[in-house]
Amino acid sequence: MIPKIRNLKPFSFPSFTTFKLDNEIEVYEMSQANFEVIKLELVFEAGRVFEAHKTVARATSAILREGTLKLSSEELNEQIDFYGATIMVEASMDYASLKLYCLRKYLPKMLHLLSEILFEPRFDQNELNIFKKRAVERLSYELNKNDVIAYRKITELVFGAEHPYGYNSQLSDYQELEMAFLKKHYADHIRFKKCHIFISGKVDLECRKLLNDSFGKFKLEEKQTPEYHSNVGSVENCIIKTDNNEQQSLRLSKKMFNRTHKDFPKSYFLTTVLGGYFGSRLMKNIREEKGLTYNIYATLEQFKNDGYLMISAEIAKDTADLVIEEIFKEFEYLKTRPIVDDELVMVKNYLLGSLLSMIDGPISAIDVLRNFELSSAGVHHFNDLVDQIYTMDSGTLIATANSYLASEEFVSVLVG
Amino acid sequence: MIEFDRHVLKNGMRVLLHEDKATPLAALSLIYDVGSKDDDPEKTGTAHLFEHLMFSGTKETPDFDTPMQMAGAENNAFTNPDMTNYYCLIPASNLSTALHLEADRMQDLNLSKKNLNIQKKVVIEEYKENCVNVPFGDVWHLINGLAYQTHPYRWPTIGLNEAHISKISHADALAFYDKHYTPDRAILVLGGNIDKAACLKEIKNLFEPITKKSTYQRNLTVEAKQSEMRVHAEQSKIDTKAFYLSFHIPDRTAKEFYVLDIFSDLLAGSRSSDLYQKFIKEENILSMIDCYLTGSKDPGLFVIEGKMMQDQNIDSFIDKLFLAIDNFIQNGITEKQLEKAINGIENTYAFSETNLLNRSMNLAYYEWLGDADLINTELAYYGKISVDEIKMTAAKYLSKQNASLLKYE
Repeated sequence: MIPKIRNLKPFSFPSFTTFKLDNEIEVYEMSQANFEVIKLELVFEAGRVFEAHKTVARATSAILREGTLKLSSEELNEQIDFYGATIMVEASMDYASLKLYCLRKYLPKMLHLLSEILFEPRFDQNELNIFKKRAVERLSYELNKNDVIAYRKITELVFGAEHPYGYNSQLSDYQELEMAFLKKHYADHIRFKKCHIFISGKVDLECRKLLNDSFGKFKLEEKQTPEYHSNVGSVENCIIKTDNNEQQSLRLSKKMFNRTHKDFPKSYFLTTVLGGYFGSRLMKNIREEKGLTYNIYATLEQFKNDGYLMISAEIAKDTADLVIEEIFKEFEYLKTRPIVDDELVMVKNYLLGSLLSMIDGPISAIDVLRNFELSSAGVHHFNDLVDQIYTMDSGTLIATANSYLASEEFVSVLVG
Repeated sequence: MIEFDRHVLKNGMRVLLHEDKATPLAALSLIYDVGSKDDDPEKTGTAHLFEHLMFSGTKETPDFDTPMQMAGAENNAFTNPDMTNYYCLIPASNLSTALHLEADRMQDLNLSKKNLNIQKKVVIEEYKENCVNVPFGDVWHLINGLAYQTHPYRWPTIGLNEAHISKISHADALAFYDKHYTPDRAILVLGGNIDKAACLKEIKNLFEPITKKSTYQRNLTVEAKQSEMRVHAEQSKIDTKAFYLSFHIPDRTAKEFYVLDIFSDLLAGSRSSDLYQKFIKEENILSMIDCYLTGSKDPGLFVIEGKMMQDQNIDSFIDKLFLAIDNFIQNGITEKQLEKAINGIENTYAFSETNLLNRSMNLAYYEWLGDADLINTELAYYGKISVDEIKMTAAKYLSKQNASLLKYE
């Protein structure tokens, strides 16, 4: 017999430290002295939401990483690689971030480089030319994949083709990029602007001083934040034919909300029951009973100002009608039939176990801290999520399903 | 330094315990010494399909995942040409659940015909998703088929084709289970917040009664030495042109493997690497380049892959590529470059060690390779490598006559 399974008890986010640099930049610190590594991230409000031209956030991040006033791109890469470190500059929907992974012993040298990247970028025209050519090649290649086409189309339908969360980069967007756009994006949203710093690993007092020397000495400039407009999404379903028709990419989606919404924890739970783990309703039905897909899942995607629920699967040829019908059937069951206790307890324990592993050790936990702090939810929302998972009951789940799983509010895309 | 205890049970199963009281979790990694190289050449894909079947449940437990999820675990598995690894991360208070279920499915798996048929459909969809319905999806079919003519690495883990997967029968599955899923072919690692003495006692109680033994003697063909360059041209179905250039190299445990690993980093493994700088940044011939080793237990491959910029010709590029490789071997490898590569490897090791599941899976992997201590000593191997050794070894293996070129044009 299987030994008795112990239900998981609620837990809180582990302790962390915050402090301010001389210029009031806030630092979040989670230390773990037994590993000789540092993970550092500087996050700026400089993602797509702040763009004056499409793709400029991504291009600016890429070019920042390609050389400083003192070091050419090649010299910079040689120095970073020489110390075995990784430095990445990335842009997302809401943020641009500079990330550093290095051994603690090389932190002083790497901070020096990171600071040069941030404050003294080279903006080399030749590097932009190469970036544009490679971006065009990469996009042309990616557009041959059903899943890429499907993702692009569904987010466009949900948020709108001109919306920062919904637009799709076109070849021409890259071709039309000019260095002046990048320099302006950098000046308006990154250089001397407020950022949040997250540091984990072997963080000691010297690290704090080094951080302050690198990023605490300049005077912060004010910056403009555009007002967020939430578009009404489309409900027109879309079918796109491609040559890759051995399978089809199916996506169903509807707009939801960000982490601060009062129903976020409940809908997170609901999404998990529906398609958030191996034992989910959709996996059991579409994969394990019918064998129509390798993988089907539902996720609740989060941006700073918004979010969406998405169901995704690569499905067997000519089965889309059946799969969509079954998905909607699962919606109906969730809206009308109380979840049985075994399944309720299983999802609770699965989710609590999964959250426990996400905060296991500072180097993982700091990413959770970042996501909750930046979305202005604050980490107490993490603790609230844990509590609401623990106390979820079948009545609340049915009510949540009735609020958010109306099939007519979902838009679908089928590619293949 | 990662500390662990090693035990061998009476039935031959190897057990490694790694304690870490700082986490509330435990990690389990269970390797069976069976991979797609053990497939019947007429029914390739059996090892991988069987991995799916291991989640079928037993007489006592109708399916594997339900109690695991009930216990708060995240679990999965993968198969490669050499081995199959089942792993999970679980709250330490429920570790007994995972141990019990692993012991149960090692001896009492419920292989139903119905589930076999469903999982064959699922795997065929997996095959289509990864190998058919995407650009260059057949790349590993083609690379392996070109480089290996007799060794079973010639087919990919998922199987040579859908027909092979379709014809795996219920009797095949039962025979596969008896042949490969025995304690003497298994390595179990537990890591995390465990009490080592209590754990060992529980493991002995659960696994030692499993007395079935494998009679399988692995006797694989040795791939004959390649004597001239092989080329396979495939019509690219899309506008992008790509190449994969592979060279036969020694197995994962050979000294030369480590030497070539360093060489691959320096040649094209990072943004400061020679070929990245030359062909992406200076000459703009390629839009991407990568370089890696397959790291298999039998002699493997050193692979350089790249995608061409529009209007570039693969054949004339490959000539330039060989010249560039030769030139780099002769002139590019310096003490400083060597130090850079070792620093990079040290960094990778340090970050990998911060994660409990990584540590546990690595322990199982190294034990399976032949020595769990490698997890602590491998880095020192790299430190002993000299510039001359890299030059000699790279020149020895990266020759045209040892090369197989796959091009999508």
